[in-house]
Amino acid sequence: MNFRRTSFANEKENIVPMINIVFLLLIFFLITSSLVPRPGETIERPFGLSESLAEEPNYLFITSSSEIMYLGQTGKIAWDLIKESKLTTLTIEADRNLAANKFISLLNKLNEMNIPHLEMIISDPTNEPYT
Amino acid sequence: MIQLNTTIRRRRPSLTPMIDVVFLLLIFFMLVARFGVDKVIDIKLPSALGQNAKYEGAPRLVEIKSGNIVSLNGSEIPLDQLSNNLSELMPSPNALIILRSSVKANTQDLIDVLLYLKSQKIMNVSVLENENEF
Repeated sequence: MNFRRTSFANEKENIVPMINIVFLLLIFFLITSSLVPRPGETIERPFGLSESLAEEPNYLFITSSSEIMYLGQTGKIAWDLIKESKLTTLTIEADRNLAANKFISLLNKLNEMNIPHLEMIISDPTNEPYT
Repeated sequence: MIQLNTTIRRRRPSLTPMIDVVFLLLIFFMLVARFGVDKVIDIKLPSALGQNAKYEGAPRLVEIKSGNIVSLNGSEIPLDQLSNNLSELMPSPNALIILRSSVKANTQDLIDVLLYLKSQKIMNVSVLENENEF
């Protein structure tokens, strides 16, 4: 009898579909991710409920140790950048453990710069455990 | 004449390094990507509200303490009783309230009080700055 020899030894797996998917994922993440420089210290957002959304945020970060960061710059350079930028909206991401008096001082300083619209990022307490 | 058998085999460039780099980039972007739009609260500063708000009626000084406790004109009360106690002191629903923070209060306490007052439709709030910290 004449049987066909079926050897799979030389058959390579086709990796082209996997590469295609990986490229598609890469392009997706490249387009959707925004690389905003953040401070090294983790910022714990305050909890609260709101329906408003930050649409085109210009982030100003302030850590629990009252270090500010704007466009990757800290301290006086950050303040000068905010002043020069003539912003219409500034989105503040402040740590919930920051002293309230410091936060009020920050708002007063921003008020002196005549920024028309200020908003503050909050976190939904239903999504995270309230500590 | 000597003829060398020079059959140049076409070698395909190896795709492995490129795939490695692509995977590294993919992992990087997956880790740094943040999805969803952030929720925000609007902060209206005095220039937007009109700085010349006139104060009328009894004193209404609310001091923010830590942990959902506030002090109204010096007496401590839980935050959820603030609206009832304030209503007795307010000549009109739009009357101005003065808000001050104690040393122990943090930003969460301040936001809690502001959101509570907003939920009770008390919108005319003035926040005092103890001393300039910046």
